[in-house]
Amino acid sequence: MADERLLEVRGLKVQFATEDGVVHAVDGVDFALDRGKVLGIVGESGSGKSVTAMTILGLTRDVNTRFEGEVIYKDRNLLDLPENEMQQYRGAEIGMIFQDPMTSLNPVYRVGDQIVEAIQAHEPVDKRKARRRAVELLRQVGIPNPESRVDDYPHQFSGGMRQRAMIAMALSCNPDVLIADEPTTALDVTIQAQIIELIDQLKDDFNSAVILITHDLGVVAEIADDLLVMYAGRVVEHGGKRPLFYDPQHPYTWGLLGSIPRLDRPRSERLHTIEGSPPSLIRLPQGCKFRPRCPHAFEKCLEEPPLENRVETPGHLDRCWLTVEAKRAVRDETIEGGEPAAA
Amino acid sequence: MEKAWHGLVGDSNPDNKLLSYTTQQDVVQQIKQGIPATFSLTIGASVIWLFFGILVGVIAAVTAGRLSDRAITILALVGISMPVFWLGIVTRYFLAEKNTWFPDGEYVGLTANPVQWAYHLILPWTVLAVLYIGFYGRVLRNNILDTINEDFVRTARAKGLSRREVLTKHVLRNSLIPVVTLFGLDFAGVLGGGAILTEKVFDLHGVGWYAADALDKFDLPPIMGVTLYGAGFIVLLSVLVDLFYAYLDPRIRPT
Amino acid sequence: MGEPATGTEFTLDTAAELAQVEHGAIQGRSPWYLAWRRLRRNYIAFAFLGLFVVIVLACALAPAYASHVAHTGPNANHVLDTITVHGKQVPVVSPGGLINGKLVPSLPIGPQWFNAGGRYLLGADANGRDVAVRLLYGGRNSLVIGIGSALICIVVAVLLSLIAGYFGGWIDFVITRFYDLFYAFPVILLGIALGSALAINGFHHFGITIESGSIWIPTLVISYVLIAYVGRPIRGQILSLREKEFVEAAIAQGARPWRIMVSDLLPNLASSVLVFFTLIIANNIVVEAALSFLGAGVQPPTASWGTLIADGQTLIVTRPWLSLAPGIAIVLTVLSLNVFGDGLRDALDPRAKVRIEH
Ligand SMILES: Nc1ncnc2c1ncn2[C@@H]1O[C@H](COP(=O)(O)OP(=O)(O)OP(=O)(O)O)[C@@H](O)[C@H]1O
Ligand SMILES: [Mg+2]
Repeated sequence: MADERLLEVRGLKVQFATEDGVVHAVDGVDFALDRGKVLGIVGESGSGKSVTAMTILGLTRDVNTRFEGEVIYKDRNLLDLPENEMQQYRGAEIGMIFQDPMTSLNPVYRVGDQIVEAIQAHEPVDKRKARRRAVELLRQVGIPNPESRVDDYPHQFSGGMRQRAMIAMALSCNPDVLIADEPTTALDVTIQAQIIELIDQLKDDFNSAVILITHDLGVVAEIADDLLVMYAGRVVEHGGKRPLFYDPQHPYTWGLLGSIPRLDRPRSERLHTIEGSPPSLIRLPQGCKFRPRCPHAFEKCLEEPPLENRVETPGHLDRCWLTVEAKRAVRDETIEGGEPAAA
Repeated sequence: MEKAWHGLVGDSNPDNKLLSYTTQQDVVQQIKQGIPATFSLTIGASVIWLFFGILVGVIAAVTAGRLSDRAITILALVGISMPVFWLGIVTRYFLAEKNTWFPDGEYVGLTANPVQWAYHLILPWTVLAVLYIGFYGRVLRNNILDTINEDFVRTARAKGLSRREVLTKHVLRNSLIPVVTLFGLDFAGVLGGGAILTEKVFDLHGVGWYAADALDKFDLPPIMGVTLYGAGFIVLLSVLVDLFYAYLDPRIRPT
Repeated sequence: MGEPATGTEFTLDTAAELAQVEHGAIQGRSPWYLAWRRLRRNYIAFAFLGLFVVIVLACALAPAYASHVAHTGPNANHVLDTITVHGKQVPVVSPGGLINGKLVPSLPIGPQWFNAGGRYLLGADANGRDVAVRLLYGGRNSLVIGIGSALICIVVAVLLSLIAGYFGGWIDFVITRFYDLFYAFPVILLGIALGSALAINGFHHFGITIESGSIWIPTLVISYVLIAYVGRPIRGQILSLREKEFVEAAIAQGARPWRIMVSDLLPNLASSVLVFFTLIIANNIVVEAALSFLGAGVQPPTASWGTLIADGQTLIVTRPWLSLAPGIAIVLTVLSLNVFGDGLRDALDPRAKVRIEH
């Protein structure tokens, strides 16, 4: 089966004008998504993951927002669509799940009614039919007793159940792309795995594609096909899951990999977080944006490195000036959590 | 309350009735006589203020930051800044005395003549409503702007609802919940004699007017009686508001 | 490309304007500086603050106006006097009576503007008193009562709420029940009940004596009836501050309660207290006017804007300015405070929702 291209993002930039200055929240993001695939987007807090996702759905549109680039969904540029046409895409073509299930459902309406609302927004079905479908969807996402639970209010659901309900709502119109923005961050570790598995399974049931956003590489390790690593609004590394995990090229990716909890190490060493904090998105550093925090920075880093293929694996792109040999020599220490060696 | 009552009534009063110092009339009886006028005033005014308060608040919030929002904000503040009795005197002077477009004061019973009833009440209704329109408009505007940033509104937009559906079904519905509480208490306050100024200025012989009239003679028992009557209404209405609130917000509903 | 595809969703344009004018990092600046920066651009708020200052100055200069321009005091009667207007002698209060077979009521002189050399600028009242002079003196009283009662009210409310919020337990219970009690009465009725009782006899308890005509009575009555309306939201804020780490840390380190209240809690309340203060002054000026209008506030012959409106009401048809002038004075004063307070709140953005009524 030939890969069917569903979504392609090209040169996306999003800027917010705020009281404190222009926030360069997304500053050059490119990727493509084929049917049946899972794309993982990872990065620290504030790296622009949510803004990228919401921009795809046109949820960041605002008088104070500026966009550049293209979001091509099945040959239409969504960035150019007027609001009333964009509405047809939201939910029906692209569904979205948000980070915090506690606040993402309206507390004053029954869970079932909120799903019915999503169905009726796109399909001319009567309330009874829509409700039957809501029950069916709740069953599919693993809510016990969906016939009675459908009439519950969100506060009567647990966190994990609310997220399942959110997933049911996002899938209610059978969208081709599902965007899950940190769907598990607010949940217990045990529930996290269940939700991720559910998303993976539903992707096959519904024959769709998934963008899974997280700041935890461990979460995407299981189900992602491709990975996109974001830092300060840009893509710093992009490639298949295996090459990216086994041959990571960007020092920032190493830092992220080092921060995955690993059971084979004593607890005190397990979490190796990256030193320093992300730059202000109003005044970005010159050259490579990771330079101020990078233990391997050198003069060349004052120039911005392009996102290029530098290794043997085709399609594995990164944004770092270090030679591939130099990288391979120093990175294991970073990932293992030892003292970083100077380049 | 019981104790306050006995303190007022005194021991020398065998019927346990609160009597006016000056007229020796039964205060409770007098308050009852004022109720029709006060209810007519309150109910009409509250309909006006609720309708226009919501309208103004929604318009301001939807156009937040633009000229109409700023104009509404200033107008609302003007409404809040006007002493209701002065507004009453001025409108009565300009619209009922200098130009006789409206009847000058007095209350006509609803059952006696519904048209005259409303015609006589239009000015007092409007005057009493002005303050609350300004107040509710601002409260609702700020509530709406807070609610718009809630996560569930983003969810509603992501579902593909139209801007209007998002605004009415999700934003407005949730922003109105706190307004209901305000409304219940304000309604109770006005019903309970809080419209004393309007009633006095327009010569509406309601409960508030009775207290104001007693005040002119420094006749304390009616004032105390009306104050307690007002407290009774507020307590009653707060209970109703709590019940209605539970209906509107399922989170605090007992399961 | 670049422009957003469609029209606006719900937003505030100001952020974009600001961003264009001013770039640069704001990290490390104090919240007060940030608030000031926002407030500074609010020209409307400043214009109204200027208006308020002008009104206050005018009222402060009342004695100068009385002696140098109007040549009369606020309570001086001139029922039988005459003044010179355009070289003619005119009675200040025309006597009325049976003229040409018709019964004519006695009528004070109307506004003279500047025709009478500054005397009776806004006319006279039924007692022949100069309304302009009374307006300024009345303004002094209204402002003193409004500001004074706001001050007392805020101080007491903050103190009670600090104690309630900090100690919690039964102390909190008692103080919140005390607040609830106030909420059970319409503010205006409570004010009337207290104000009229005190207006008759004055206050002679606990070794404190306040005479019945004193403007201390309305000041105290107004501050008293509004304590709960200020205290309740402040207590709420203290409760949420109490949960914050820095307060818990201070407690863990064994800091004394009053120290925590003064150095940890109070500074965090400062911005909302400031906003409350502005808005409460405005509110109290209206409450004073209402109580005085009904006869339960400032007592005659002392002037206040409320009593002036009440005095003028009987002559509204023939001499409307007697009621119009003090009313306009109230509206301008209260409006200026409300607009400025609103701007202040937007700038400081305290979560406190001011809920007051009159
Ligand atoms: N409407 C907005 N106006 C101004 N700045 C914004 C706006 N929305 C997002 N930002 C800023 O853009 C940056 C990127 O935010 P984004 O939410 O995409 O981060 P994220 O990668 O999703 O982080 P997290 O892991 O915390 O969810 C942040 O610094 C945020 O403050
Ligand atoms: Mg995010």
